[in-house]
Amino acid sequence: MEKSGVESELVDLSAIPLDVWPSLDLPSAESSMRRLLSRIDDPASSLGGYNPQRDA
Amino acid sequence: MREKSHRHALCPGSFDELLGGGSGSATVEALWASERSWRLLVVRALLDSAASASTGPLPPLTDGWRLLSRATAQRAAERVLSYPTVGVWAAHTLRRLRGTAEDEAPVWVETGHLHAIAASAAVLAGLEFRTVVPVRRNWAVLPAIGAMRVPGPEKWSVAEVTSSREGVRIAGHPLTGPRWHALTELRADGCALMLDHTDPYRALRGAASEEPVADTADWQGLFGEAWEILRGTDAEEARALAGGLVSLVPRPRAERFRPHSASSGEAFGAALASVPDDGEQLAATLVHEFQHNKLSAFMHLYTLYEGRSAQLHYAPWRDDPRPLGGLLQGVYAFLGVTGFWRRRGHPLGQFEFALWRAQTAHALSAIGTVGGLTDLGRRLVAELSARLGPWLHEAVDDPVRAAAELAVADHRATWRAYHLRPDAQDVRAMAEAWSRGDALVLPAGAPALAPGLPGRGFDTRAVLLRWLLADPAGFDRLRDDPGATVSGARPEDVALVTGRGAEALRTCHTRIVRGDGDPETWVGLGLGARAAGDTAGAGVLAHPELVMALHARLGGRADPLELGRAVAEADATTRHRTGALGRL
Repeated sequence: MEKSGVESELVDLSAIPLDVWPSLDLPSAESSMRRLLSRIDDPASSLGGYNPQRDA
Repeated sequence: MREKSHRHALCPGSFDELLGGGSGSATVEALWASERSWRLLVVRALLDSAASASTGPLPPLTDGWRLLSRATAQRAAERVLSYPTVGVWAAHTLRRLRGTAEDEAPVWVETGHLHAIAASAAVLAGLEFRTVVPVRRNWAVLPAIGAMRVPGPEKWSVAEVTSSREGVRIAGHPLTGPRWHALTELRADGCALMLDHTDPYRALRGAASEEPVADTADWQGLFGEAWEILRGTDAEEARALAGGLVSLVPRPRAERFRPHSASSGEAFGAALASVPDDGEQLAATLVHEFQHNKLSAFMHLYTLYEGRSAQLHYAPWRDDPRPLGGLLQGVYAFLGVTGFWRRRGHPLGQFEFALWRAQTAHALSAIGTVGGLTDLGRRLVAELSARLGPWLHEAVDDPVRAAAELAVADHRATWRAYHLRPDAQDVRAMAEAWSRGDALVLPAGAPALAPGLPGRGFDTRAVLLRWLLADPAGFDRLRDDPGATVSGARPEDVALVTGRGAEALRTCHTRIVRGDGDPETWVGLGLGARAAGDTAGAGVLAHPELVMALHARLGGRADPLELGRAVAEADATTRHRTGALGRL
């Protein structure tokens, strides 16, 4: 991932140690978290496919 | 603890590739990196929401996270955190905790799946450990590794997982023997996928049956065949696909030429597919689902449309109306599918190419008229349209082109007939004009969307066309009783696809006059009339919902073909007026 490219709206967490992540206070992640939760609350938008509606 | 962070960024080359529907291996690698951040966010939201939830007989979730953290220090274990079903688990369980999803399993079984994820990572990292994982209906699953049968009287219970110098054991049993079901790895020269038939979150829409698929032998041969086709079709795109997909979730075989497949924005790297007819169909499915995967990951990075649009639209690849997000996913996937079939020159390949280029172009054009896209969303649509544009002019054999045109007209008209309703006052006014012998005037407003319940797949005639093009001998065998082989097919459908339009027209006309005119029959009437050179065909196919409503309003007494001709004339008049106004 180049740092000088087209900046996205998603926070980059690659440098965060996993062991501290559950308790880490990371204000820069707040807007990404709000975007994520809005998708979580709209589950129909996450599924794609071909004729998945016929898959019993 | 507070830390600074920055945002992901795509290099301009990768950004442009994805906007145009393509991708190289470097782009896919960048998407894996951004998806890891997305995954961590979902898991964090889940852990925060689960903080006060009961863990039942399982250890605290912090214990599971600690083991996962230890394990992922080893690179091999990182792939468990990124494994597709882990994303489905986190999203589904988070929805349960937020009250927007349901499941039969107790919440502790779902939140406690974290211990199973951690155990998988620890096994792959070669750690020595001891933990406890949930058991669902006698199955203890290690994601990305396999599942152990743990018989017991309880539907939901727990099992101990231990790893020591003596090996890994679940409920005291080693990962060998008849109780253990290891995932099968499908291998080809340059590509490998886990055939995941055990993970409870493999179905992409929440938890699935725990029972593993018994027979996975067919898949290896089909996968090898598919990979050779993909590599021979476009080696660079195949390499990107091999880097992007990690698991294939098998589903039962569907009817011939009617495969099911799916993917989820929460499961980057996964494709769910019914047992394909052959390797070529599987290759097309992998291309299709990989496109969905890429766009979903791109949409985690950038916003293509605003809001949660409740408005539904025509999607030429589905029987049901779809929201804007579904349309975007569809055009992205079918651009890839069109590109795949473009390089397959046999009659079926030409048919699929001609069909999907037309349907994708139609949807791209429609999206341009729908509100809600961001500037970037509009740019994506423009880039996809620019890539598709030259393909619309490429030559296809005449009979195949005609077959694709029939399938396109059939799907569009059937969708309208099922899901659109003209305004009742407009219909009454038209019926009165008809009774007076006046020329009809089309309603000024668009019909309302009122999703109906299709009586059969809208692809029924298209499936018959596929039989005809790919297997003429098989088609000959099914033509006497088409519904026995192609669900929902009727004799008049066989007549339509074999060029006997007049015969189909008579059958459909008789049925409508008798009072049995379902949407498929009306569209069959339109297709038959068009084939016979009757202008009624244009009227019925352009406005089937209106012709049907008018016929019903007139008590079934008006001749269906005469109504179709009158609507066609009204349509032509409207178009003429609109064109004249446009020239003023």
